[in-house]
Formats: sequence, C-alpha cells, structure tokens
Amino acid sequence: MGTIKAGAIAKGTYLLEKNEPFVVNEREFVNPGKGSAFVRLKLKNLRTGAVLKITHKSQDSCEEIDVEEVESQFLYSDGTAYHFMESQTFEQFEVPILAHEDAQYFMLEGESFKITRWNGETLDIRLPPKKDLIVAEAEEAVKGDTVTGASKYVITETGLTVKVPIFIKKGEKIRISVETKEYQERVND
Amino acid sequence: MPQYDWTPIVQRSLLYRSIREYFDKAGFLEVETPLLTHAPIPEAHIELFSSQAITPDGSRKNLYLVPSPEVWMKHLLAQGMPSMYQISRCFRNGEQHDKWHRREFSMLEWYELSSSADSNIARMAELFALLQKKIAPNSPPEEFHILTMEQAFRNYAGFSLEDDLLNAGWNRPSASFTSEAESTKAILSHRLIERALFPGSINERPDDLFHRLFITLVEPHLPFQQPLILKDWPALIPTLARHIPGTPWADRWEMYYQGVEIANCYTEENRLEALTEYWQDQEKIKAGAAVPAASDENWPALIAGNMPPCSGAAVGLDRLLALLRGDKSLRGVDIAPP
Repeated sequence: MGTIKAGAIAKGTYLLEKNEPFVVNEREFVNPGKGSAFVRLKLKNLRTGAVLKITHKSQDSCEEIDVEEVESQFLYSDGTAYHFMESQTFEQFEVPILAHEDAQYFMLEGESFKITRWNGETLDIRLPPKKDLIVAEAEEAVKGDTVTGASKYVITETGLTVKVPIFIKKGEKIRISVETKEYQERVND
Repeated sequence: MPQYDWTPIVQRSLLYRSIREYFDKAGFLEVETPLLTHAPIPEAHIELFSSQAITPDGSRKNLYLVPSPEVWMKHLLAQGMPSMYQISRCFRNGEQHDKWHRREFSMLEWYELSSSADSNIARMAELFALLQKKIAPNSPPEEFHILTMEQAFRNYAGFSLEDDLLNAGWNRPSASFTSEAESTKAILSHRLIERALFPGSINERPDDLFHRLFITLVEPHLPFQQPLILKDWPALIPTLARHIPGTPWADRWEMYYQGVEIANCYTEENRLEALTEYWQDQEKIKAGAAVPAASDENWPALIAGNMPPCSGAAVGLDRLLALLRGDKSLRGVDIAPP
C-alpha cells in the first residue's frame, strides 16, 4: 500500500476508499475560477461493481493499492463466476461476475488476460481497449436500402448486442470498443 | 511538418476582429501590456513561468510571464485612463494539459469605468450573441440563464449557504475572509461531515472547504443547457472582487457555456484595506509556491484611491472559440500542442 497525490491518479489506478478496493474509471480535473485544483473521480467498487463519485483536492493523499498481475487463461463462465487458470502454476480460480459483468462480452474461452490481485483477492480483469468479435446473428439488409448512415442491431459470438452499419453480415468480424461497447469498424482478416 | 487545418485559424482571426470592432464601437481603448514582468500579481492558486534576463554585464534578473494582464491594466486605470480592453496571451504553470486546459492561452480582458459586475452581464450577453453569429451563424440565439450561488446551493445541495455564512458572522459590516476564517471553517467542515464528504485537513482554508462542497454537491447539477451566469460568490474566497458589505457575498460572476467555465467578472475592489488584506494573504501562500516570485508591495496603495470604480471581465478565447465551433476540447483550435 502506498499513498498517491490525488492529482497523480489516472484512469485505471487502484485505490482504497473507506476500506473497499476501487478502480478509477474516470478522472476529470476541475479548476474552480479562483481556487485550488480538484480532481473528480468516478470509481468502481471491485467487490460489488457499485459506482462511487468522489472529489479530491489535487494535493490530497489517497491510498493506492499495490496490485500484482497474473497472466491467466479464461476457461468458462458458469453464470455466477468466471473460471480462470493461472498460466504459470495451472492453478484454477474463480472471479465473481457481479463486479465484472461487462467482461463476459469480451472474453472468449481459451484466451489469456492479466488478472490483478491484492492480498490474494482477485480485483480486476484487465481487458484490452478494443476487441474483435464475430457476428453471430444479424438481420439481412433490406435490398435497396441505401440510406447513408442506416444502422441495425447484431449479436456477437459473446452475446453482446451492438448497433452496426447496415452492411455488416453474419459471420463477419467487427471491432468493438470495450469501454463504450460500441461498434468501431469491420475487420477484414 | 504537421498539416494545419486552416479553418480554426481563420475563425480565430474573425473572432478577434469582431471583438475589436465591438469594443472600438463601444468607445473602449485597446491596450497592450507587457508579457514579461518582474513583479507579478500574487495569486495563491496560480504557478508562474519564470525566466531570467541577462544584462550585457552578465548580471541576471528574474522575470515572469504574466498569468493575466490584470496588474498592468489596473495600473493604467489608476493613472486615469478610460475604459479599456486587451487580447493577451496568458501563461500558467503547474496546470495539467487536458481537454480544457493549456499552459498558454488567450484572454480577452476588459475594464469599464462606473460599471458593475451586474451591468456587465448585459455586455457579456451582447458580445456573446455577436460572436456566436459570426462563428456559428446557424446556431439559434441563446438566452442567458442567471443564477445566484445561494439559489444554486438551495436547489442542488438542499441547504442555504447564506444562512450558514451569516451564522458564521458574515453579517458583520467589517467581516472579511480573514476575520471570519475560523467560524467559516467550522461551519463548512460541519456541512462536509454531514454529507459524508472528506472534511479536508486541519489546516484547510475556508475557500478549499467551500470548493469541496461546491464541486461535489452543486456544480455537477448546474443547468448547462443555456449559457449560465453564476453570480454572487462567497466573499470567503479571497479575490480582488468587491465584498458586498453586510452580506457573505462578493460582487462577482462566472460564466459557463456548455458546462465549461469561459468568463468571470468582478466589481473591482479599490479600497486600500481590502486590497492590502488580499495582497498579504496571497503573498503568504505564495511563499510556498513551486516558482517563488516577488510581488510589488506598493501595488495596493497605488491602486486604492486611484483606480476609479469599475468592473472587469475576462474571457478565455480558446475555450470560447472551441465551444462555438462545436468542439468537445481545445484540440481543434490548437496550432502546436506542446
């Protein structure tokens, strides 16, 4: 455990607030007209998934959690927990889905991820900023529909419903932003 | 070589030309004051850029880039000059470079004689409408929304800040941010604890405690659908705005456009006692600054009694231009992001 000046906190920093572990999802500097600099943070509780919005003066000291990262392979999800296997030790462990619900849309069985741990407790699954996924279900585009910007919904292989341009077909690969869960582009392998 | 987009460069030229036409027509004198100074204004929350002048004999003298043209323009006003305006570069160190902050930026600053912060709201609205028509001719005209800090606290924080501050002693005619510091700290800390917010450290100043409340409970809920004037800020924040005697308020406003602070305005303080109190307080804090600088201790006496009653306003032009263009950050109007 170390202390960190609030002004140095970045997106992705792990913090201890009120004895609960959090990850910083959003950080915004606020400089009131005539006053000290402040940082407005949006934190996610890594045990419950609950969101906490707090404000600190840039000079405030916060408690930073020193996490450990372990490369692990995603095995499967049983609906309440994700099952992983540590790549080094082959040890299997579970991560409750509750605080990491979105991760289900971006992990395919057999893929490896960095898992962050603190005092033996699994805190977070580090997901990539973007993920390429195959379209599992898509409506056929209506012939003659050439309206620019027309869109439709498709479902990916992981079950994520995404709004995409009309030309995207079933079986194609699309790139999704993990943070916004929005379509970015079609991927041609 | 980066390829620069011409559009924002041309738009900036149009913006500045329109500002100059507006103020010239209104009878203001355009002035230009130095960017390098040996005695900048002591502002506790602003870090400076420093440099050194080297004389031919090899001796050195510390110089600083101005964080705003305020000191110089007030010197000119104190010497009897008329209402004036300036478009100036400003330099602020110790700040992050992010969506809406740059270490170097452009500011429009104007001072109008025999005017007040209230009467400058109309001027700001008139200028804004004109500039919006020039830069964003297809945008519909926008009505200004005017809100007092007290209304904002009642609406969004659910308590009367005025009652709190009056209880802290701000109804006394001689109340000031130093004389009421302890009672103000006690009452604001109480509010922070009541709201389960971090009550600050033992040595925290009243203005920091106020900003904790404001930034957490009020600012996120302000009505940003229209240009917003938030007026009558607590006099517990040390500024060069005039304290309205017998009230906890200073005669100043801040303007927000699309949620971004773009302007502020004061009825300027010109009483010696108040100016001296501000100067000494800020110098005390500045002693711990990363870039220490001397300030001109004669300034309060030079200004008091000489600077006529007036109101001054400052507008961040990079922010204004970006927002009028519909940008979501300053990126689009930067020429060379440092």
